[in-house]
Amino acid sequence: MRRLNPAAILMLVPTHLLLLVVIALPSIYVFWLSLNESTYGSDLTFVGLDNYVTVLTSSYFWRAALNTLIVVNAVVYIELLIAIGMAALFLGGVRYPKIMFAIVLMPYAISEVVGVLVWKIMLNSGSGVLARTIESLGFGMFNWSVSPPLALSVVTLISIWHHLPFTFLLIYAGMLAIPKSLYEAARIDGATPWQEFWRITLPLTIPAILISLIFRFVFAFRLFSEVWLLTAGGPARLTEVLAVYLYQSGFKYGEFGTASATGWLMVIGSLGVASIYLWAMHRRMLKGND
Amino acid sequence: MTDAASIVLPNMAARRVAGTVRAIVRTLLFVLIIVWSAFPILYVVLSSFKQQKEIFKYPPDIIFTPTFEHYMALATKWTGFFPTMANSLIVAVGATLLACAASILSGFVYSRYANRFLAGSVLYLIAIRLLPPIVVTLPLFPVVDALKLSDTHIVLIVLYATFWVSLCTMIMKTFIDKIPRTLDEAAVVDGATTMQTLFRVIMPLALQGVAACAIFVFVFSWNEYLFALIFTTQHAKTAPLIISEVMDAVSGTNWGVLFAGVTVQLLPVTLLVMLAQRFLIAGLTAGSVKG
Amino acid sequence: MVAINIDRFVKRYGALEVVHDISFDIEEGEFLVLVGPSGCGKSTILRMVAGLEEISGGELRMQGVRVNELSPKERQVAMVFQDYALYPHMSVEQNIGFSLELARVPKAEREAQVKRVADILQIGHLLERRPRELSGGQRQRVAIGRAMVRKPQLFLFDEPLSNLDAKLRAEMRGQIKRLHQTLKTTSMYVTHDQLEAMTLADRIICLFDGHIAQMGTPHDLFDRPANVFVAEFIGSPTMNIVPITASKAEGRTVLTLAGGGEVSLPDGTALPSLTNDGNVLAGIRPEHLSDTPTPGATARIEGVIDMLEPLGSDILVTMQVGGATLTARCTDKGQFQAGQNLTLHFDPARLHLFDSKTQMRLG
Ligand SMILES: Nc1ncnc2c1ncn2[C@@H]1O[C@H](COP(=O)(O)OP(=O)(O)OP(=O)(O)O)[C@@H](O)[C@H]1O
Ligand SMILES: [Mg+2]
Repeated sequence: MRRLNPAAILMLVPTHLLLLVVIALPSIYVFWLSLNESTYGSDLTFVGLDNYVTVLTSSYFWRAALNTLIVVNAVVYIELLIAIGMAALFLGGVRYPKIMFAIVLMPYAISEVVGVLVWKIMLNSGSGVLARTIESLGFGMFNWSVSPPLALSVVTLISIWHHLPFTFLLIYAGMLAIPKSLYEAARIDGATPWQEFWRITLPLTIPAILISLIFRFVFAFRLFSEVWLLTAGGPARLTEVLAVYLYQSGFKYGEFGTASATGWLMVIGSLGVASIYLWAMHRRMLKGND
Repeated sequence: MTDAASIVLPNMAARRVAGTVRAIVRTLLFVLIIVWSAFPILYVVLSSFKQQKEIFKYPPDIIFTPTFEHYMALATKWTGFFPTMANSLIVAVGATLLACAASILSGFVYSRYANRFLAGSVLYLIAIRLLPPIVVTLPLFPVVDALKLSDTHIVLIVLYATFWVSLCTMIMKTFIDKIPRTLDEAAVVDGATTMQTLFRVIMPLALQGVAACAIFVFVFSWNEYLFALIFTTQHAKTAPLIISEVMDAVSGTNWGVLFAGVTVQLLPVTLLVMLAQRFLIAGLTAGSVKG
Repeated sequence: MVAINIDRFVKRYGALEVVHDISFDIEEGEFLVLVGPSGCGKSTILRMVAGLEEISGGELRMQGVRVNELSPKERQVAMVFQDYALYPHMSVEQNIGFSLELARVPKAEREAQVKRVADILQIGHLLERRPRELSGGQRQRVAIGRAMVRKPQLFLFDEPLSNLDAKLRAEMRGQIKRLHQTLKTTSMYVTHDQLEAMTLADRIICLFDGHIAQMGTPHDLFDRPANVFVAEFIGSPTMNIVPITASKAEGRTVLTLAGGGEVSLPDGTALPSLTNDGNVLAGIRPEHLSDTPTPGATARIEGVIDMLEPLGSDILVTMQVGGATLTARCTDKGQFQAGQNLTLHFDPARLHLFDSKTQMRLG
């Protein structure tokens, strides 16, 4: 390990300059913005916590917060369960692994815009191939555009479709890292495949699961495009999520103050969620899990 | 030998049946995974080669005579499309180069040097990734406007590179950590400067990490929607943005053209991701291990 | 002529001092070996000389000039690393030529230099290969070649042979020795293997816990170890060291072993002046103990055979004398059996005596 010298400090400049100028300073400035009233072309007027009061008494905000909470939890946990199942399936052996991985990874390469477009068309009531299949099975009209719960379900579906490859890979890599000798020992001890999964694979994958949970919670919290492109928050702002609420107040209504307050509330929420999991991970490490 | 348990032969026939059932269930599950992952994409790609009237046929034809009419139309009628593809390419390449260059340099320092500031700033690098990026649009929007950078490639390049530079730094650090330090020392004894050590000795051995970073940034920048929506209006507009605009305004006969455009947009990165899966997986594990 | 002065070297990692005020010189063309157990600071000193590790205290002079602040390149040192540190992505030729390339030596000359070195080391046919396609011994040669091609002022070796198997180690040892005899480059060599130190060194520095335990020629260290540590470290099998009490009875010197048992010394044996009332440590090398009386071997000691370890033509005989254990290296003619009584003979001049408190040599 070498001591930091001027040349090394110079090499850190690009990364830290980008982070400082684009993320750190603006984030701090947003806090100042959130304490002021401001809109296009007007000067800032200090209003203290008024913006926070406005946001926290807005029913649209609470609706967005609730939607975010529901969708984020649904996305993260359903995705996690599917990913664990898939990883276990792959762990049991897969033919043509390169091709299978290539196929599994495909949704990762797709733009959210295109993902929404495809699913929207396939689920379009009366004409989409999936909607008609559902309807022909006798479930009635699949009219998600007028039903907020259905619309949010579609958002959840698309979001899971997009991000499953990511979660799957993290968990699969975690399972792959378990030494083969543990399974051999378990087999000698007479464990069935089912017991192997519950007693060896799953407990030893928990670190990977926690990491992917943090990643996914943090990312899911940013959910914007799927909702914006699918429903634009409608009908009647009933399907908005926090990022959409922020975008609307900032860029549609020009209320930078309330938008900033929303932003800070999002930051706090995001850090809160992440810190719970970081804390859980930290505790595991303290317990001497290596 | 009397107290040892004697071997009881299991029912081999039952075992064979159970094995077969297991194999069938596993195969079905794999098929399900393939359909789930690939069907939506194949659906668009195939539709782009169908006659207009066949596109929404139910049930859809799987075998049909392909037509290239929508691709012709894409070139002639939807003239706005290809410039946005060019913008996407410029932005994605620019962001990839910037993020990789910055994170190679910083990843090297984080791997090879030690002091209290560095140890502390690792936490900062992780924490900064937890912030929802939409938050920074509010203060950046007026600044970008004042700097006359609105609707330029530069804005998107800088933004996209920044969103990835912290994760890429960690990925590079993880990869460089695996290169024995004595190689640096050998290079120093051989008379190499720090830069020569980095580019002649370290970089060639950490190419996997560079590839992983490059793919992450490229795919993200190629597909990004929200920031393109906020910071571009005309000249720097990227392909996802124009697709989203057309998607909302499309009328009966233009679906085929839209599908052709979408196919052109998604095919290159999908192939890239499929072919470069090795780097992606390596990068993902490297990036997640270190938080 | 002195090539290198190491003047009061100190190395600290934070509050932890691992090298304590060490000074020595290296003569022009000399082959100096630093030897000592793991963790005693050998590599640290070598790396301070190389310029890879900051010198916390003291001064390094080359040809009389202070070089503490110079880079390894400016110090004109070349180094062979324990794990070879060959660049995996470069061919053997590129590995050896890398330093010349960095120094902007023209291609033709570079190739000639690489060829010259490769021929000396007999790796000319491997130039196109990558390090991973080489055997351990070949990698070792490439690493040496990479150091040689620079024509350095000083060669540094950090345990270069420790990753090789015993046979290759002996072979490479010979090759390094021959190489030094032809090139005559000043060299500093670190090892924890005392045999390597004995065979290669013009001069040995034996280190103990960041201090110099003894400095001298291989003969000095073997024949007159300055303290118990060096006595036990140099030589294999290890020197027998037992606590004894020396007393005078009727004008004769009598040595009594701690747990009983006596050494019979011939009349008139002169011992150095003893300390601690004659309670001292006595040492004798196994190869200086013999089961048959030989001229000069006028001292005797009796005991019971405890264990036998045949080595081929020789045999290690372990004998219990009172509470002490002695090992002798004897010629094996099948004459020994465990449980037998045995008398061992030795030359009293071969006896080493050490102060039992300070562990330092007496006389
Ligand atoms: N970076 C460091 N920080 C703290 N202590 C260190 C560091 N490097 C080495 N040490 C300590 O310095 C002492 C000397 O280390 P050194 O590597 O010189 O030993 P060595 O004699 O070469 O041993 P070996 O034969 O095992 O290579 C050791 O006790 C080691 O623990
Ligand atoms: Mg060492």
